[in-house]
Amino acid sequence: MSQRKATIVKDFLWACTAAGFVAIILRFAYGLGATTGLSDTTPWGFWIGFDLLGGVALAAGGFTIAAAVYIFHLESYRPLLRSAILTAFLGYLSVIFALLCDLGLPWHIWKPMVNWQPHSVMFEVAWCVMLYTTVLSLEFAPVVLEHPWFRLPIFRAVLTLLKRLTLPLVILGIALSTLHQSSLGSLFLIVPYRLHPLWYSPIQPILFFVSAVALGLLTVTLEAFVSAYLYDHELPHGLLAGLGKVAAIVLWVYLALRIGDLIFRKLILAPFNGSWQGVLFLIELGLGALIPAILLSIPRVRRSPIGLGTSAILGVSGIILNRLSVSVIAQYRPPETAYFPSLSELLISLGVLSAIGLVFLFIVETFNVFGAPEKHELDQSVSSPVSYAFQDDLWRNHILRRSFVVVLVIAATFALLPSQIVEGRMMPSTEVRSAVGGDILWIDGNRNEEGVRFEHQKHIERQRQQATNEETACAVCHHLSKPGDQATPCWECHRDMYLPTSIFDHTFHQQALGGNVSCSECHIGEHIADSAVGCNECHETMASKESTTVKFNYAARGYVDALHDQCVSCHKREATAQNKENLPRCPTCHRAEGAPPGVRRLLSLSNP
Amino acid sequence: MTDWLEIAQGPIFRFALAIFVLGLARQVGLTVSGALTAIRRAKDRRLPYREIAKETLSWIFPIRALRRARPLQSVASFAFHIGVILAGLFLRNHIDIFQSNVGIAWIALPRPLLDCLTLLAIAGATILLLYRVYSLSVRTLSTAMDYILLVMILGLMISGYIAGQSWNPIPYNTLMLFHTWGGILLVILIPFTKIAHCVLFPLTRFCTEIAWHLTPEGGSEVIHTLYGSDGRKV
Amino acid sequence: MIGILVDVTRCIGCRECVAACVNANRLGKNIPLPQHSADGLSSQRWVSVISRPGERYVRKSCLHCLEPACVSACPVGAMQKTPAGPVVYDASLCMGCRYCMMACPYGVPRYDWDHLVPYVRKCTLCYSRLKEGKLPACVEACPTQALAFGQRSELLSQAHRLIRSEPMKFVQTVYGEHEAGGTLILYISDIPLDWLGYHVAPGPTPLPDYTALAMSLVAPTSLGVMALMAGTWWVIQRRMKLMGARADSSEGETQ
Repeated sequence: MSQRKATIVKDFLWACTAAGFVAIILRFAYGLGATTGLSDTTPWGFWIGFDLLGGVALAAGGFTIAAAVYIFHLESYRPLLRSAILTAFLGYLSVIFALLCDLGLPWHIWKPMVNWQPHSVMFEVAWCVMLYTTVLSLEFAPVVLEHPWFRLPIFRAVLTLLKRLTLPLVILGIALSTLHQSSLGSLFLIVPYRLHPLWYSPIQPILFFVSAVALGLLTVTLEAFVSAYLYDHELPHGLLAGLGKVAAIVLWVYLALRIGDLIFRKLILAPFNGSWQGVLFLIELGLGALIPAILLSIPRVRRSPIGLGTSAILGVSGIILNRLSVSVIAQYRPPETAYFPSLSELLISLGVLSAIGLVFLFIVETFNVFGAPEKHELDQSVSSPVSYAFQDDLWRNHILRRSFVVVLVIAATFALLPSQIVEGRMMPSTEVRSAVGGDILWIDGNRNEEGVRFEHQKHIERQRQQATNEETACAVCHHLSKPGDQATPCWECHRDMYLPTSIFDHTFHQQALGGNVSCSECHIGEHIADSAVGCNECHETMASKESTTVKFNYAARGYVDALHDQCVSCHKREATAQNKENLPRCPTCHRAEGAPPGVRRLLSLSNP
Repeated sequence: MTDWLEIAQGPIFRFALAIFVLGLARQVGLTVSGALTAIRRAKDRRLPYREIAKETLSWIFPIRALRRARPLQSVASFAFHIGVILAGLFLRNHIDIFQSNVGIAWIALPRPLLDCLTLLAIAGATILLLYRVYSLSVRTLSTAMDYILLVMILGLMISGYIAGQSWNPIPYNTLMLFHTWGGILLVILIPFTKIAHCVLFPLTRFCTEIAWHLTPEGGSEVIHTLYGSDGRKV
Repeated sequence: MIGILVDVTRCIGCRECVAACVNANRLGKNIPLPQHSADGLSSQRWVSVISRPGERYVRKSCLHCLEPACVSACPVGAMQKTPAGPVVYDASLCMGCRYCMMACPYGVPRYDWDHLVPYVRKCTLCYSRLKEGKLPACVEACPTQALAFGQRSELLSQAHRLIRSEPMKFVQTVYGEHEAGGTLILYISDIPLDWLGYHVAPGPTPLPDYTALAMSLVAPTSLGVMALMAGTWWVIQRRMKLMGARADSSEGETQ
């Protein structure tokens, strides 16, 4: 029965890993811009907030439990030690993995090792990650080396050496963790003008450290719940209640520091001013710290699995929300450049976590992590040939099913990710609206009120004076007229502000020329775009011969490009001819005064 | 209607392609690992590798088969395969869909040549279908899926051929809708049906050899022994 | 220390400086979309001209702080403050952590989001042109002498002279004299320029000072924690041994 629960969970994790795998490939194939929601105003997003800051804080259980067992000689917590250290180690691995996705040039990740910058907080963070991951791997290595696989004397020698080094390693680990947890907070000391004052704090390093200790303890608690559920272990109630008590104390310290800091900076009333930041702050501190602190302080609640589990979940999500707020949500950015994590950012986070989860389950099932003796029974059952064959078939069954799931998920992810991720970033389309007015036209295609006041009448008069033939005067600018029209306005063909748009209606032409048999009217040979004849083969008079700038084409350029080209080329000519050097410069047409009042009224009518 | 066409040629095509590639890779992986497990467990581990290679090659280029029992069936099958593979992979319109989704393109074959090949393939597929229905020995071995797949491919080839002709009586987009969605369905089905032989064929003889140690053409020898020289009377 | 003095009242908004910058630094054609950039800067636009009400045009680019936050933040030394003043970027060292973009109080460094090998991009005050003895491209291109290039100290005194000579016209501060510890680009203006910062106008404290304390505590903290942990371990272990011994002896006495 227990086997089945773990199998279902593992199937699910495999599916998530597969989805994340696709997203990672696309991220490296098409770059950060195409696959993430990051921008110049949000250089750090979900990966930094959740995977990096959250992951490191989640891993704090490793050093707290190690300190309890080795330094404070609280031997009763030893059963939790190995899984806590394993979680910390895998947590750091997932952090490094997410970081590799987030860095623009991940192949330069080793540069901080050779190019020392002791003034940079990020430099310290980089070194701490490297050193502490090494220390954690050494702390966990004995568990792996105890396995019968490593029977060779050399492994035994290493094992003995590592066991002798345990205490120095633990002390080094605690020092590195203290530095690292706090220096992640120090990262945000340099952003006083960017981070909302409710989160910007001069004691950020201390806040980060204290909350990480609480988070680490609660994570160890949650993890005990999960493994007890998956493998039908008995929940170590007494131990977890003890952890809960310590976590409550740490949470109270954290709350006191946080509120004291606000009082000291005279901001204690700021959360209640009704802004969304205030609400976020209250949710984060209330649901994520205050309520779990109260719940865990009540002995009856922390001894019941439900009470303990609830407060652990609340506390963990609250402190992770704090990391996200500090690094992403509460950072100021101009409203037009809002950030939301893209699907591939979320998928990569999910995939990395799931992969780490699978590694965790593998290690737990293979090595003696929980200190339980059932390992040997399993070994005996495997040694009989019948059960060996059975195991093999079971394994093959898993492979069959999981490979099918993985294929399906990869295909679905590949298909469902928005096409901009698969095909690269494209400019969003911006519809062009018509110019308004009569003798004076207000040209403002995207209606952002940064348009051009165009003196249509004056241009017509000037053109009439210069043109040899009065009839073609209009055609200097109105270079292409639709059938039955004399002067088709710009926006009828240049329909997008920035992107080229097609002005050819294929279905219309196909129907008009006689359905299925009409292909050969335009296409010579195959029915592909390349084989079609030019528009002017049939529409001989549609394109003006007076126009200097424009070729007759299936695609019309973006509105901005087309108009700039049309106006500026003529203005440049006239600037030298009339010796008016300011004529081709931007403010000649783009003036700050905006639309004429009459036009403004028209606009307000046409834009409900 | 054009929306449905665009979906089929965009995201759904990517889905089908991914299923196709990964599904076939999975099939190959499973077959190889299964074969290796079988070898590991077998007592008789001798394998005539040269014979296997020779048989596989002669199976791919069935020139010798022409002289054997059913020359018409062999020719039909050959025409059918050539047509399906060349028209499927080297038609300009198909390559365009590839390029817009995956960014890969390759050289296209001229349309008239592909038209001829498609006609031959349609003829071949019809003959194969008739064999399946009217030849007792083939009918006994056939499953429902064999008929479904063959009819499906036949339908796809006919619709694709007609769509490209100027005398096409059916509205172009309707025909394309049928052709595209049918094609997508087929591509998705490939890794999970017997059409997976498009990548598994080099392993077929290998697996047979491991499983039964049957000599090549062993089947017809059995029939020969049981029923005399005229196997068709079964 | 060199610098540029920007006289906002002289700028006619012709964007010749932008065009010159694009040419000199071989930048791309794309104009940034408003949803990607509020101030017009991007990895392909190292200087922009922002239109303000009343036909005022204010140029924005890297201000080249005297004590740059980006240089202090960079973990690999890719952002460097040159002795002459300009803050430059060494792409061969960058690992793409984008901490410089977070740290800058003006939000100036921009990223090559659309490239597979992305770098941080910003104005270098035409450092390579300066080394050749040329003026920065924007200063050379300005048709109205709104940009003046020279030694920062001289420009500063010139700026003060100018704003004092016309107290009715100019705002009576030189923007960039003290902002975030002072910048090489100085502004005199007849409109307030508080909005030039990323979100709020930076105060006079140089940003590196904010992290200096935390960084100076790194070594003492680590040594302190190690000593504390070792001490705790020793004390508790000794006490437990003593208690064990006493328990043994008391057991012996009762027997």
